[in-house]
Amino acid sequence: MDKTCAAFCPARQAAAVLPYGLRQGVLALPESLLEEVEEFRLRAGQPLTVVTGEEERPVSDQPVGQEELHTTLEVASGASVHTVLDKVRGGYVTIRGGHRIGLCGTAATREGHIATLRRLTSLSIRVARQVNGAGAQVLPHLWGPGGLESALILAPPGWGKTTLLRDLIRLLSRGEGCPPVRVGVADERGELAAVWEGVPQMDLGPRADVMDGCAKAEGLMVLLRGMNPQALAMDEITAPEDVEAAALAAGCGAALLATAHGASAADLRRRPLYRKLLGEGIFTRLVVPRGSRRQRRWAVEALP
Amino acid sequence: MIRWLGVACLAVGAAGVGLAAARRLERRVRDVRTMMYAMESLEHALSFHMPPMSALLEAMERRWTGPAGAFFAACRRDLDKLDTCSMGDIWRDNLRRSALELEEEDRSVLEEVGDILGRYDGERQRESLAQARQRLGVCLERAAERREKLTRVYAALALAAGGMLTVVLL
Repeated sequence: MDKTCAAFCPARQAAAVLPYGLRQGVLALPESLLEEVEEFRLRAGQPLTVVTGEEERPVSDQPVGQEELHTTLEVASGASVHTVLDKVRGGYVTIRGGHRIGLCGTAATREGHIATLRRLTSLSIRVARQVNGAGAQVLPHLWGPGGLESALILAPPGWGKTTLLRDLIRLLSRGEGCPPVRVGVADERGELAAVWEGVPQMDLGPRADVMDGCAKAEGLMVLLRGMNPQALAMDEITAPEDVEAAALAAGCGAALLATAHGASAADLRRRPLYRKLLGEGIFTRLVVPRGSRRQRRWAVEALP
Repeated sequence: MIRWLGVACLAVGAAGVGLAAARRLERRVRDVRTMMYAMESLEHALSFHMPPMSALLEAMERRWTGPAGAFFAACRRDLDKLDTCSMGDIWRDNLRRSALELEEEDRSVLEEVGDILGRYDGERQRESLAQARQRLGVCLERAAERREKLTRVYAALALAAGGMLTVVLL
């Protein structure tokens, strides 16, 4: 079941961190639009905008000021902006509800690296949505004679790869439509579990162990050593270390679920990083989108 | 007899007003000193552990007793109002309501801290806390000087006023 604004509205929850004036503008938007909001964007000197699909539209004509950017971050961090800005190297922070705030501004560097942001210029509040049931049609196709197959979810940005992966983890961990599986989750970007103050904000089921705040490769190794997972999940394979970690994990007997940006298997084979990934035979299933962004479906292909 | 009792009450009252004024000077020195040390504690915490504001205020509440501890406790309790008012507002409101014995100059230094605390990066907060600590140090010196000068004056005036009232009324 999808959670909509009629019962619980993730966009409303995310908008709670906005300063009063901006929040009122957002809450005045039609319910149907709020249900589709993926991001709120605040840029100094420009009006607040909402992103829905590929469209970005202003909420009002009033430009956002520096003060409002700081107030947003102050509310989002519980008046603990120092705990947020000093971690800015990650580029975003997770707040209550699993929503993510991306930060942009004037950086202060220390020893050649970004240490903090002295002045904010833009904030992007990405609304976290859990779509329970998104993986129900995909899951049966991931089971082979030997149990759960390793699968790579492949789609362009914004198609809901993470949402699908999160729901597959939840279904496996709860044993819905399959035997219950212990899933180790390497959540480097904090998008799968959205841990906030030690508590996952997303429902990953009762048998999911989450390792976040570290690189995926390291997280996978810790999970393998310490948590005896039957399946491992990682979001967005983007670096050679991720591929190596995936290969290592696959060799340890745990099925691997992961996502990658791409349009098709042929597209992956053209890129050296993913060519290696496919060449090593780590994944035996490829999950790709069908249909349009608004009415997306997923198809499962067997990989040789 | 009643006349004597009335005179005694007036004399004690006059002396009490003077002595209370002297005690206020003493309390100001104590509270400014406490808040100066509290700024140092905050600065220290932000240098090493960088705790979230609720944990920081809780630690301050545990560390300091009396009006300072009560002030930090009230700020921590009010953190859940953050969606309707800023940390600066919470800090200022509680400073105004607190039982801390502060003069206008001490209060204005502390109010400025509220506008920075929890709102900027750790380094900027530490810089502001260090400045506030130094400025409170100056306030403390002035408060101590004032106490030295005026405590005896107030006490002497109080006793003299009490004595004079007694003489006049009898």
